[in-house]
Amino acid sequence: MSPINRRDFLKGAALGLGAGVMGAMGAFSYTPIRTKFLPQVKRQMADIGVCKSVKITNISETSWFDNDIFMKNVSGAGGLLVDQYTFNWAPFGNSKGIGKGNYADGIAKIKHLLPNKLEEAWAIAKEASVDADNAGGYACLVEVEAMDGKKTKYLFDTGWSYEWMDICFKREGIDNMLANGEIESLFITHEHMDHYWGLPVTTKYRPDIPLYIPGTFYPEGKQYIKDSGHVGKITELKKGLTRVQPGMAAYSFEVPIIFRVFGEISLYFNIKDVGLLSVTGCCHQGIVLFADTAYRELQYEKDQFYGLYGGLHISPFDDWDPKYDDLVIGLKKWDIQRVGCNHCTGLITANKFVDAGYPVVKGTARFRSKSQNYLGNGDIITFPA
Amino acid sequence: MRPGFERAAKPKDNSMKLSTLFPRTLLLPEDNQGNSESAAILNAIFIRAYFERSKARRIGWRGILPNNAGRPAWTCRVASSPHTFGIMFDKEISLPQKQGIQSLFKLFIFPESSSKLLDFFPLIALNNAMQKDYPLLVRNFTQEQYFDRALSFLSGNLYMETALDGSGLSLRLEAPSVRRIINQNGIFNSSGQAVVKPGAAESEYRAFKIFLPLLAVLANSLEEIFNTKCTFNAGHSRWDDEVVETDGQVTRQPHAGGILTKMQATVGKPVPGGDSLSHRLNALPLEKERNKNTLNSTLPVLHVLTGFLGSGKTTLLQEWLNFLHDKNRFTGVMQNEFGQVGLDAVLLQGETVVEELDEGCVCCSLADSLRPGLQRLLSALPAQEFILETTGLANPEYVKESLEDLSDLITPGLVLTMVDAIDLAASLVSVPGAASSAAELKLPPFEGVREAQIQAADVLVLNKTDAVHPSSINSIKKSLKKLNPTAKLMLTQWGRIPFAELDQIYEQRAKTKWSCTSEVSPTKHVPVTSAFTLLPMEAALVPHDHAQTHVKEGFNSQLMEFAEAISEAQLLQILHKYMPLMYRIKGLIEVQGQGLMLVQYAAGQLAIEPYLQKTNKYGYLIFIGNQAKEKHTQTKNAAAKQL
Repeated sequence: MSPINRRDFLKGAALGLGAGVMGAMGAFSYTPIRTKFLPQVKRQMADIGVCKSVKITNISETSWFDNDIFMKNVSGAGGLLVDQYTFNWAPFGNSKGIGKGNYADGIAKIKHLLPNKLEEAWAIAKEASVDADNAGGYACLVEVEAMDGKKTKYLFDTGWSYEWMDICFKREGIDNMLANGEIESLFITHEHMDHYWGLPVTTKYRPDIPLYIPGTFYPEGKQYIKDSGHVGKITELKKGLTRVQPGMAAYSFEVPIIFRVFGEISLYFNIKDVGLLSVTGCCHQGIVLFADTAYRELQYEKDQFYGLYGGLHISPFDDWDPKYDDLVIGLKKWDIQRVGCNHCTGLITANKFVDAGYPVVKGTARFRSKSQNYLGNGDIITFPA
Repeated sequence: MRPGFERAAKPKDNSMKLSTLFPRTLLLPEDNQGNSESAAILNAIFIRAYFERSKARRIGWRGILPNNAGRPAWTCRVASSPHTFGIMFDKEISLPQKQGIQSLFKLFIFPESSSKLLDFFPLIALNNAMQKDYPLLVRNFTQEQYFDRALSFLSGNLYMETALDGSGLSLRLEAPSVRRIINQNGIFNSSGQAVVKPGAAESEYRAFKIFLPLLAVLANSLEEIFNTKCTFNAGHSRWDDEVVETDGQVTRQPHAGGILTKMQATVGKPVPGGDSLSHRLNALPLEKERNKNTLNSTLPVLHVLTGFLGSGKTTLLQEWLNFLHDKNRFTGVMQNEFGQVGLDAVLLQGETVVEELDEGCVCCSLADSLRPGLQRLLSALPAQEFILETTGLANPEYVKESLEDLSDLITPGLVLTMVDAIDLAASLVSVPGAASSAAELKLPPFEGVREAQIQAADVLVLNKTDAVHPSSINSIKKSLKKLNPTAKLMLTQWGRIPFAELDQIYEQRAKTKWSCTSEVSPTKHVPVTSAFTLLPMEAALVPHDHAQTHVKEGFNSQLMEFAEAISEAQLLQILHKYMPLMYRIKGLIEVQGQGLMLVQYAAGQLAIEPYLQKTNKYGYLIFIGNQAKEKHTQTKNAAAKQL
């Protein structure tokens, strides 16, 4: 008698498996390898309060202007794992060429000019570094409206080039807002040059602004706070959730990032009767993790992931199934209602979003932003619409 | 002595600092409020491994999908194994004297539903794998609705030990050498025949061996991240078979020689207080496999994109570049156009560094003209991939042959050949002797270059399928399959193919190095300086005997230049005159009142579109025809100049 084919047996027994088969299932209750704990972790439903609305003004999303030049720099310095402070990018240049810089040499040239003599400092730095004119930066102004109508402004990142960021700050009136004490505090999402090295542009107008940074800055990053003339309170955020004001929380993700950086902060807002808004710098941890974290840890209105703003890396990995390796598919399950994307989202992904019918709020492609599919420099987005 | 394990000399001191990966002090479990340092560290290992996706592939990763539904979990695939693995965090404890942390991750094996391995898994696992939702189960295995079923695939444990001072980290795989589940009842079908005999093994598979490639890739990742070598240790303990008794209870039954195999990869110093294994190993037992299958070459891969004129190569190239750039896989492109102005280089803009090879035909002076261009690209970009888009008239055999000369710079990739469905459909002929004329059609034999392009392909892309009747598509497919049975055939419109599959195809073929199909050894060729105006006589002087080149077929290109804008009527007049004579016409022309227009004619289809990008190369049409039409062309050109 030939052995009975298991698959045929199972196909034939589709309507009900006999006791013998159930017997094998028993093995899983008692197998010595089985875990005794349930895999599912209950949703924590942390209450971060509610706010009425959020308005975001894009001060700048153009971190650099020419990608070819940027890629040549990366190649010349030795690749994506190289410490950003050694690139010889402005403002930390030592005239020794690409990949041969260091923080100490660079800051020594300009420290005495920070933060009040930015033009002079940048001019010196330009001389000593590579491709300084290619530097731009990422920063946005976040205005939160509380339930009682009171509005609070936060600065989210401070860009890279002193020259470019000062132009952008002046264009949007950030310089005056800072000087008048209208901005509550500055959040630095992560230590990357295009989000952080423009710090003196903020401290020039308000040196004592409260500063929130990830707890995983490297020594150079921490030193730069002092060297930029900052004299205010510094809060190093621990991993996980930190409440900021009702309806607003920061979340610190522990994720390794290229150019020798670690950790990124993103913001979550809970908007009354609307849902969750997430604001990111680069989202190096990946949107999928970002969204799953919110689902797992936070309680938010209508259980609706409503809006998304910022640079949006979808996932740090390749999927092992080529069918799913289209990054845009992963977002569908969240049914996001309003998206403003720019910066490291990538024009290709942004175009895919638009093609896929995602609710992308288009921009005006002004002030050197490259596409209307981006919420570009000078553009504003409000949540809810 | 267990085969494959060797005793090694005393361990060397490999120093390592955890802070290079994870730059903060570690928290002991009791201080961590239910979070897991180990899961965070493992996640950081995965992310670091994937900073450069081509490097991740070289190390052996074939994709990771994080599962964030509940506990930290991931599914992944690795080189040397066809299965998907599941990794799920279980628990974390402090090591003695609080010198370190030990954590346990459960390991799952999810074979493909068609895999023969499932015949040796518990029957319920096979049943789960045959369900329609199996792919979802695998991707979301820790979700409540899937977890119970996923348990039937649970097969091993992974322990991570980390020294609190960051001086050492180890990963240890523990799994039964053979996972055997005896079913005392047996399982019978409705006719009383035994699917599993009473007392026989319902399940019997080599769990440890199956997991070993995963440990190898994890070890590779540790070595890569910490820039040091792993030390390996092995050990074992007794493992009894599981038995499902007649009353449904599960008991254990000793099996002679049954062992739980343990193998550990450590970077840095041994973790104080961690479990130690008795044997040192020189290397993991499948070390040779580890190197062989992880595509050890660090040279960039060069793919060749070929295909006949107007088939849509440039569009496919743009889509391909979009796909690669999306994943930060920096790619250099080399283009060659058989014509005096590299139009396609103008069409492809944005973030690609493109080298134009304007020397006419890449066939004729390839290694010489490619080398400086390649070197320029290699220094400009951290590229791991190059795509050489050849002229639609190039013979890929000859191209491949010449690229052997560049084996110090690049490693051979795929040959993708694009063919135009509209063009082919128009040439379908009846199969002789076919009874019904409507049913049987086939492609006539191809000439020279076209045949070579199809035969040399690893991937055949049939483009413009939206414009062709499905029955014609079928006939075309059949004919192409006959000509090249091994190529992967992809049907597409607008050049969108599943680019993610190209990696898999490349891997399958990478084992067979490119070889020149000719029996004659490659001869040194005289560089032809004015290739684009070759006349048939000159062609005969160039020693190209062993490969059919376009030159023998007498292709030729002529350039018509326009100093000023012309009217639409004039443009159409010129085009209608030449279209019947030419294989291809293309150019950028300023049309009065309409601005810059892109003109493309191929395979009987004319397209004129506004050209919106900035360029200062315009005011020309290139005509590509063959020898028979050359004379005619020359007189017409003279007429055009008078317009």
